[in-house]
Amino acid sequence: MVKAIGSLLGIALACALLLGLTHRATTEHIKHNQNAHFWQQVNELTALDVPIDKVEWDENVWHLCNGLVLVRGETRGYGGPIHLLAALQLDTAREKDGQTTVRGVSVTRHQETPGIADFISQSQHPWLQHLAGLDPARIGGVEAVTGATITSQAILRGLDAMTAYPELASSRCKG
Amino acid sequence: MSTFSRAAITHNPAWVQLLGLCPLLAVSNNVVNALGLSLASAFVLFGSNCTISMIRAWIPSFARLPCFVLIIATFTTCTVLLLQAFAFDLYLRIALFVQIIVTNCMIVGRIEAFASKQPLAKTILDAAGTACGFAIALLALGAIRELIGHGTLFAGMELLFGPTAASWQLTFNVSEQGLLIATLPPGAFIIAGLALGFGNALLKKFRSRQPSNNREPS
Repeated sequence: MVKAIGSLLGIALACALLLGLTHRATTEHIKHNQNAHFWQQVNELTALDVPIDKVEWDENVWHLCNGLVLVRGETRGYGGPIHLLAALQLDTAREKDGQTTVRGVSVTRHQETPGIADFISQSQHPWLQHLAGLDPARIGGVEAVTGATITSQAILRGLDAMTAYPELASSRCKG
Repeated sequence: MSTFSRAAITHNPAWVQLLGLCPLLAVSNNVVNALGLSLASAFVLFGSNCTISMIRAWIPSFARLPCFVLIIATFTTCTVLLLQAFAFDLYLRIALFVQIIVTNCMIVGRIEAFASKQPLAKTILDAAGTACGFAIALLALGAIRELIGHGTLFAGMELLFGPTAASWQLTFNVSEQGLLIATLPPGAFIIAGLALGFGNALLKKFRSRQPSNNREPS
């Protein structure tokens, strides 16, 4: 009995050690990859090279002070939360003040079914491209992708909520 | 060598034993995903089988299942971390299925039936054979589905082998769009079923040619 407990403990310890070492060896790389991925998405969305280390989230809104606003949000998909990042164009022209247009949407993290919902992480996918240039009022009319209805609708819901953030109006860049 | 070919071909984990079908059907929609998952599975399979074979004398038989699961889970988590560190884009595409390698019955099955009872040398051959067999099945299905569904082969290999591999893509102008169903899960079932039937027919022929040799009691 004591021998069995001893060997079980030994195996558990060895596993913990292996995990700890791998974690230590990979943390740096993983962090770097995740950052690079995030910035790549930001740059794809805004189509301009935002200098790294310039994250200024105000709640979930980040005013880039050139008419563009980055918003992040979360929505409940089929397999768990889907993390979204969207670039919105703020219309500051006199009569249309406060109006927004969606510039682009990308998914930063998700646990949707591979093979079926792959398209949400492909920024070139026609469905995601279709969302760009959309008036937020027309989001409800966008149709879902066949086979991934729940995923598509979750993204549309999330996008709808993100275009309605109250922080969008209170730009800190005025003046 | 017979241990190897037995594990890889005549007892192929996917086509003959029908184990690990969930990742097999889900991730085989193109070659690069299939290759990524077969490498990850091979790493976990090989690592856990060899470890268990080496320490089999210390594993108390009443608690062998928790030990197996712990060791498999450890290797799976290491794979997840390594993939995230060195093949991040591929990881984004097959993340979920790498994580559930931990529940792949092919791996526990090989450990319970083979690695926990056999010396290391034999286990290495068996694990290598099983991993190869699984990879063959995955890659074959991935190639067929990518060819039918997209009309390409080896697209996106740069996710695994760096930017030079982007030129490995072969495009066949069969049709403009490809047959979409091949890349969707129903297509996986249909193609896997056909491949299984074809494989069984071949195996039957192969076995009837060498009568009495390695035929299993029915």
